[in-house]
Amino acid sequence: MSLLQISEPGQSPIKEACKGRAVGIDLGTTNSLVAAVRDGRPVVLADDAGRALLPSVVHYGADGVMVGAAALARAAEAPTDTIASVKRFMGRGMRDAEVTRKVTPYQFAGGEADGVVRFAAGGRAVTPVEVSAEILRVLRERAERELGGELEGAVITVPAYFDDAQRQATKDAGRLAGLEVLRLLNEPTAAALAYGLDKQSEGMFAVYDLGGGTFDISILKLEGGVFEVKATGGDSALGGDDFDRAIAEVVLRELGLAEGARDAAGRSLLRRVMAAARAAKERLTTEPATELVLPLPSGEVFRHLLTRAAMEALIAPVLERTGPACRRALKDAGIGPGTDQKLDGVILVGGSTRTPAVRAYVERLFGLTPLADIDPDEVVALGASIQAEILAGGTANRDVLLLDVIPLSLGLEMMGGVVEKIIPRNSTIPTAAQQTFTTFADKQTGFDVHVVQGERELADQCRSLARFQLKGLPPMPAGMARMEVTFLVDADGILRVLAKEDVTGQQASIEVKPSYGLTDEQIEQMLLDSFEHAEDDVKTRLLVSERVEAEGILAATRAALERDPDLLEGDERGEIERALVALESAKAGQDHRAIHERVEALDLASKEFAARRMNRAMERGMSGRRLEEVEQKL
Amino acid sequence: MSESSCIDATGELVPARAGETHFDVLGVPRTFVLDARELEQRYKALSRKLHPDRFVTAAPATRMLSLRRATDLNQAYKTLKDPVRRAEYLLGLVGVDVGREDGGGPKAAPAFLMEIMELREGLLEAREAHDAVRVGAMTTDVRARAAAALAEVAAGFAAGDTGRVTAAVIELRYFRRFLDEVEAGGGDDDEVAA
Amino acid sequence: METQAVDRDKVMTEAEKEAASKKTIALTDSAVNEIRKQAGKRGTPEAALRVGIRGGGCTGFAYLFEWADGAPRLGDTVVEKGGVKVFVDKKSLVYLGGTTLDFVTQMMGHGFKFLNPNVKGACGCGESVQF
Repeated sequence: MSLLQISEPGQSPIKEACKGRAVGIDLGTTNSLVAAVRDGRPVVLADDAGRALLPSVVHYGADGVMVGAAALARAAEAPTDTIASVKRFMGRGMRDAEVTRKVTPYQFAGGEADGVVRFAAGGRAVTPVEVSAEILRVLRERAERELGGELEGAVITVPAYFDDAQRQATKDAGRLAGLEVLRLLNEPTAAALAYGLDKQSEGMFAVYDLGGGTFDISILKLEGGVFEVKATGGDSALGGDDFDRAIAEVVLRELGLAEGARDAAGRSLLRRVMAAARAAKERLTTEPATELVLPLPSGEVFRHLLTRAAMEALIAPVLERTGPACRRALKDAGIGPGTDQKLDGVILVGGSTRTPAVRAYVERLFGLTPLADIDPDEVVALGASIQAEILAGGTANRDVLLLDVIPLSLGLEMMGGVVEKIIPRNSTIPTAAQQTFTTFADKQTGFDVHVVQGERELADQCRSLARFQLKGLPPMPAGMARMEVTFLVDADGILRVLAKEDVTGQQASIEVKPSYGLTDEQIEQMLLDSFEHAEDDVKTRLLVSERVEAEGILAATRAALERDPDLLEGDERGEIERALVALESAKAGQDHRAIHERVEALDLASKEFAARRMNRAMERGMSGRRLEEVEQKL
Repeated sequence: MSESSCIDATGELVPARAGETHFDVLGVPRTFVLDARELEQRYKALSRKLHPDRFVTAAPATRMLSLRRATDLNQAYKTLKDPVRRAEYLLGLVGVDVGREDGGGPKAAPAFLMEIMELREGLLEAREAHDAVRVGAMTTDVRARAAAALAEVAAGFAAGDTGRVTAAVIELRYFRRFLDEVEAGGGDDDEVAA
Repeated sequence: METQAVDRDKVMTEAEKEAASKKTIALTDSAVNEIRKQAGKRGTPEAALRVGIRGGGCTGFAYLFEWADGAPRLGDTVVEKGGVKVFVDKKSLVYLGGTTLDFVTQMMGHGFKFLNPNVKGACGCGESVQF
């Protein structure tokens, strides 16, 4: 056994040296994929039916958990037991806007004080992390089957705009699915990696990534194998689903369902309206007009003619919401009027960029014809697999390096609720920053530390990441006690905060767990629960091996009793035979430890007898036999 | 050019030593005059050697060291690539803390402060009058003055005159703040308000 | 199915009983010294070491071996020796109970190992264990 080294919290390797394969996983809002580098080329891995896209849908039924197309097929009949677009809920609390949004077919389990989102599905309460872990588990199993063995690790992609809470949740889901998460990689960066290596491009590139539920814009500089993210921005709650929703709104209004009446109309109907809207949108990618057909519960069939122009008018407001973030990212990257830097290309990522109106909009916005020759659904997973291969020490692309940034500023709430930024957005990671604060009031005995993420001036307009206290300061006049706060952001973009009081040396350090996230204990518990089954397997294996060992010892001891009865002294035979009987009965039972103990007891009882037999064999050995024969006799 | 303090001659990672500067981390001479392009190349070459991506399968202690050194490198590059931050950092190394806001640091001349106040009032008026032309003219003027102050910083360093550098850096800070304000208030990109 | 469930419970109870009888792990002096040294080097002399067993690895199990910066969790067993603290969670103790944590220097380098009477085999990587 090789030796153990102490890891940082949460960093114990699961399978560091097990020779396996590393994969890239795109855990998408609508679909998820897994890819791996095979023979030097990144490829997506398909399931038995040859499908690469796994719908990110999980169904919790009486007959177990279903993931993917099978789960999607249950969505209409069991809308509350079937969770789709779970990515929108990652790292979010019950009070967040994404959760309280109007058109949501889910039911939430209440009652927990921690504010963590829990879906009431299939008679249980599941968190978004657990739902995502089900999807990841299926992809892991697919990869293990395809690659023929255990995985060494995985790179999981996240929208660049994901905040700390969302990243933590994604990493937790990976752990829960039994994956060694080598790195969380920003989706646009992954796409740039796939394109950059494919085209050997150099220069400044914008990656416009419009997925089902998230929008990202990133500006990267590609030079000599280094992919440097210059700026990033976006909206973690904006995507193609919003196009569907805009179209669905029209249908719902025509059906005469005002917002208030929608609950009564039933979640199942809402789902079907959304599905019909999506299908119509997809048909309009290639057709100038289409008919949206929706069978109603009453038996009637609702029909609505939708032209491409009409759809484009419906989705235009959603599309235009991507503009400001793009302009800001360009500015942050130092591109535009008044600078000598220009953009060399625009890459399209995400299924929603298939919509012609999106392409036209991007072209207008950047003044460049966008690149879209790698399948926009696959490009992120492909790029992630390249990064996974690099991280796992693969030989291809050894010279490639990604330099990524944090998407949103990290700061602390100050007196009066204003935010003091500690690490500004677009800082290259890993990074650290330190700041010293003093007490505000006389005899103040503690500091309340509130860590927030976002660009707004007031703390309550930013995302609350964590709160903790540094307590036990001796009473001192205001301004005397000094607290030194250190922010550390690792290469996954995950934050750790340390606070230290200068005068007394009081310390508090926390791995920032999002205010609405799962605690380490909860994750640990889920992990333990998931290895409950493995425990049973191990018990079976142990039992079998102890029985085999017992068989061997029983046979050997009986043979010895028969061969050398003259060497037995006093009640030795009785003792050994009692031990034999005891072992025999334990062997018939289920308890491997009992078998083990009785093997030891027999060993003890027969120890001296065995020693005498050894001596006899040695004496015989003296009379000219070879050592091997002597050993065989024993 | 000297080597980075993050790695030894054999390319092994080395922990930070006491008194290490950003210049040591990047392995460049401690001077105000640095070639931006050269600095960037150096930063990228070092990133390749230090980045945690290179140590994913290494022992935990090595991974931790890589994380620390890559963090040091990023901080060093962030500070040195920007001439104003670089100047402030150099001043800090000789004990002049320009960034102190508790009143203990060096101060701008009262006449200069008056001028800045007038400039900001002017900006506010122009904004209220939606006078984009005037805002533009003021911006151009302040940009030119910032460039001149930066030249003064370089000249001050060349002459070894810390007082001259300090005065110019303080002026630069005010100009930058003014320009930030122009950008923040004039942009059409304030989408966070949505 | 019913009887299986009962059997499983019986096995668990037995296992837990055994852990209760050996409800701690031992630390050698060299392990204590090394933990103290590394904690100091890390700048967190107060940090405890968390050890445990969890799912993963080639053989289905892997060691958890990392710093714990906070207080012990509910159900943790805290082993203290020479000012060094080691946390073990309840379930892991079922497996690690009765073992001794040692720090050794070998041809392959130095590091920690569990002198574990329960371990049946280890995969080549050593990060995974089998019982």
